[in-house]
Amino acid sequence: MADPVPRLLTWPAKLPTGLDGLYAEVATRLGSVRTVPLVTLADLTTACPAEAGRDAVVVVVDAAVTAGVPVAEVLDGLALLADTPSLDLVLVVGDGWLGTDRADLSATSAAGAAVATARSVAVRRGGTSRPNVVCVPDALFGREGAQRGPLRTEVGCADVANAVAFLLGPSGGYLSGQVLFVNGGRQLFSSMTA
Amino acid sequence: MSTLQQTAPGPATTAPVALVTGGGQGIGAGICRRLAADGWHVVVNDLDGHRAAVLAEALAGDGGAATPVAADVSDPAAVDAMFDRVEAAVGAVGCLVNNAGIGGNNAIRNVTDDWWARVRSVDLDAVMYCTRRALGPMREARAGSVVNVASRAWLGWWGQSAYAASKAGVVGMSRALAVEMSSRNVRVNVVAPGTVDTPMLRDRDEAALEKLRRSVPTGRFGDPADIAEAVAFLASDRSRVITGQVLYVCGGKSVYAYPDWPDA
Repeated sequence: MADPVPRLLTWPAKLPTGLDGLYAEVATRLGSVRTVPLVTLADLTTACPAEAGRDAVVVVVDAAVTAGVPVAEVLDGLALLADTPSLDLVLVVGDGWLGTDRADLSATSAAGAAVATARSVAVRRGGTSRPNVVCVPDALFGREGAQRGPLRTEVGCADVANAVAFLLGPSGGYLSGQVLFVNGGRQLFSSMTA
Repeated sequence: MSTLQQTAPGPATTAPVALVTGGGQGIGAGICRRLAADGWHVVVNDLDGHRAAVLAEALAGDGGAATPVAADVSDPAAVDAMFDRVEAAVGAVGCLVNNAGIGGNNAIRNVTDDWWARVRSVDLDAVMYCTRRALGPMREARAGSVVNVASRAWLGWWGQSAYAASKAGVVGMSRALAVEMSSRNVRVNVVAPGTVDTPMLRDRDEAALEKLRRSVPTGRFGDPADIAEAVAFLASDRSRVITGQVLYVCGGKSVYAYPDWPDA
């Protein structure tokens, strides 16, 4: 049976200061949703039985790494996302995976894996999930670097929430496997971004 | 869902102005409808003045604010005159959507000089003429958003050399202008549709359409409303820190490493 109220599944619970309140802001923008925090990504298998309705999921990949979750565990969790049917999924990552001399390599490798996961789930034959990625300044995870790009406006939590809600809602219904850069244009000089 | 609208719908003189080229039909008409619903005063440009007028009237009937303007955007003098008229009538353009385009399949051996020039003039030159003219007031206002409708076909597709070259030009120009205008708080983004159910598709036979449909991971063609949602997002303050983005609205079709779906 489908839930009467759509669910917003979130992980991890603890977000860095710059993104504190993200889940609540996304829920507000989506309207009528019930937020369900996951303790670990492995909880997806019990939270999302195959016969359940369509769920929206936000996973802030770099926040998990920053919070000390081993990268191997994050990668295992991403694999579970790939095997869970009927998700409207947004993975939030820092933009260091494009290449930076200040990279926290464990975080950038997890972010790169998240992008590859989203793209592969998007084209899985017979798949029904709609995964996308929101890419934000690394600085939002407390790493060295500016919180803005060539645009002078600093990237805030509300900007990230706007993008996540755009992708999760009906407005993003034909978007799948895409990377949306919410970083003031910091991606512009990278060949990975057209 | 909440949106951070630029302003509430209201009289034509107070609503922010969005100009949509090729707005009279297909994807352009969908974009006009969506922007009008968001509270923009929509200037509907079309080569066919009657088509623009009919849509503007329909938008007004639905409670929106709209003004039709006929112009051939591949003619630089006509573009400048169009902007002059629009500014005098409803004010400066805060959002420009370069949507007008022509397409078609042509193997390279059939690409004539005339065909190449025609595609380039509408799909690339016109985008430059309109953007160059629109950016002046946006620079002064230190605000503005340009959304260019390209196509996922710029990544490469059979028979698309002329179209892809022009759309690739649009992507490159958009990224360059995103950098150039960033210190002025003017944003330039690209929406790259996949296959959308519009009059441009109507000349294909059913077998070809079915093959095309199977090449989309989400299993359906896009609707003009899908493209319009992306344009409305990039036009609005919801995307105030997004610039130089190329957003593929394609049901995942831009993702494949190699098109090994059945019957490719």
